[in-house]
Amino acid sequence: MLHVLTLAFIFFTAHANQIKPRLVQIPGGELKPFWIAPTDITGEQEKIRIPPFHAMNLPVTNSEYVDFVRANPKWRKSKIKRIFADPSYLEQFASDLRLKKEIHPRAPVTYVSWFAARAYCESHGLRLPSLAEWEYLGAASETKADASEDPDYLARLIEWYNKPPGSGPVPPVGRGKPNYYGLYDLHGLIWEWIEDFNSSLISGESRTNGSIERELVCAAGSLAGGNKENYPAFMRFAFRSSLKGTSTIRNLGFRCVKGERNE
Amino acid sequence: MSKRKSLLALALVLAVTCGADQKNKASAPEFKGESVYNIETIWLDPSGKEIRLADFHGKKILMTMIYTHCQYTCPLMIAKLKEIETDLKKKGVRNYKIVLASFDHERDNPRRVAEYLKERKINREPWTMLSPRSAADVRELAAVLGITYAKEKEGGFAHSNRLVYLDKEGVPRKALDGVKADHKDLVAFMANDRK
Repeated sequence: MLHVLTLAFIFFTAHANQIKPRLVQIPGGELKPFWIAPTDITGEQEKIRIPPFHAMNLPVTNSEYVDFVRANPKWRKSKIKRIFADPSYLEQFASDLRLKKEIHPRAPVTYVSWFAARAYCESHGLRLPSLAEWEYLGAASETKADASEDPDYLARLIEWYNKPPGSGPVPPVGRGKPNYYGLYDLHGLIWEWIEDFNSSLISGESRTNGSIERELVCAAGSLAGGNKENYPAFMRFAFRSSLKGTSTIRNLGFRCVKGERNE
Repeated sequence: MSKRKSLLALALVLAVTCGADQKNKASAPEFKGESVYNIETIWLDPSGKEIRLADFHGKKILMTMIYTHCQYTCPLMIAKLKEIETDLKKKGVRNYKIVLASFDHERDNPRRVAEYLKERKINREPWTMLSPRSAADVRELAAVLGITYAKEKEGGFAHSNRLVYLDKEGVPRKALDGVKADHKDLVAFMANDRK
């Protein structure tokens, strides 16, 4: 009896500390991108208008993903088509519907490809955030909507980016502090997929292309007008342009958003 | 004994259901895991007919993405494809399609695309051009083909120029990057590929 009570107590406290997943309303605004559309040769810092949208307060977790593959067998580990994901897809799963012992159900789901992340969001009537939307969310610190020029904030991000990824299981979501909008884990836990991950022309493939090179020179020239201090954002760009739609990585997950598509 | 009997019954049920399962599988087309035919999105051909990539099953495909308002590299890409067409003819390759897919779901549609093909004198076999029904479908196809692009403020697209060869099963086998790349190897590969 005592055991049952203790268990119940542990269960209750564990739950009390859990942040419930929900969609958070994000006010519209402007984003000062450090990257500039490849054809813009004026060198002037342009701004991107972000219409209001809704975003998940937490990344999608392993247990939420189990529910998804239960309802959508096509996306199970044993059923996935190679064109949609690399062989390490759902590496943290022991079988189609079960996680490995050491994996936390509330850890963010990782080892998911872009195709899979997209299908998950779609199954909930949602979509992946665009590059501009994600950067808009990611620019927020705990206290400011736009901390992209705050040296302390940027230094903290760089510290995380420089930490070698651990080899143990990924920790659960929602353990840190929420940002200005009430979103958790945009930085510091995992990287996240975006809808237009393949929009960067600075990739290995495009380098062999003469005309793109010309465009690249324009882009590189006007980069000087951007925010050079935002080194973390450059690192995110480099990371994203190394991805393929099928990539599945230990520390790459996703969250979904709601609202009209915006690229 | 009764336990054994029930096990037997269970085995029988399993055998029957598994058999039924296999039957179902045979009726639905099952493509190779690496095949682009697994994409189920619908595009429109120049006559307005709905097309799935799987409709090209059994034909070799040369595929790339362009858009009809494109001023710079798209005409060069088409010139490149015409050269490849000539060389494939010399090698006796016949059963193939050249499929252009559009980036531009807002301005390209079957009518516009049909005009464009006519202007470029490629409104004939083995050419066709597909119009997208949504921006999401464009993003998906580009991801599958390994093409990167970004929409520009003026409504155009900055994009990589990649040509992908898909075999008769829809599996991407070879790519050519850039409008000036040498296509000799690609043509030889296509000519020798029995898949």
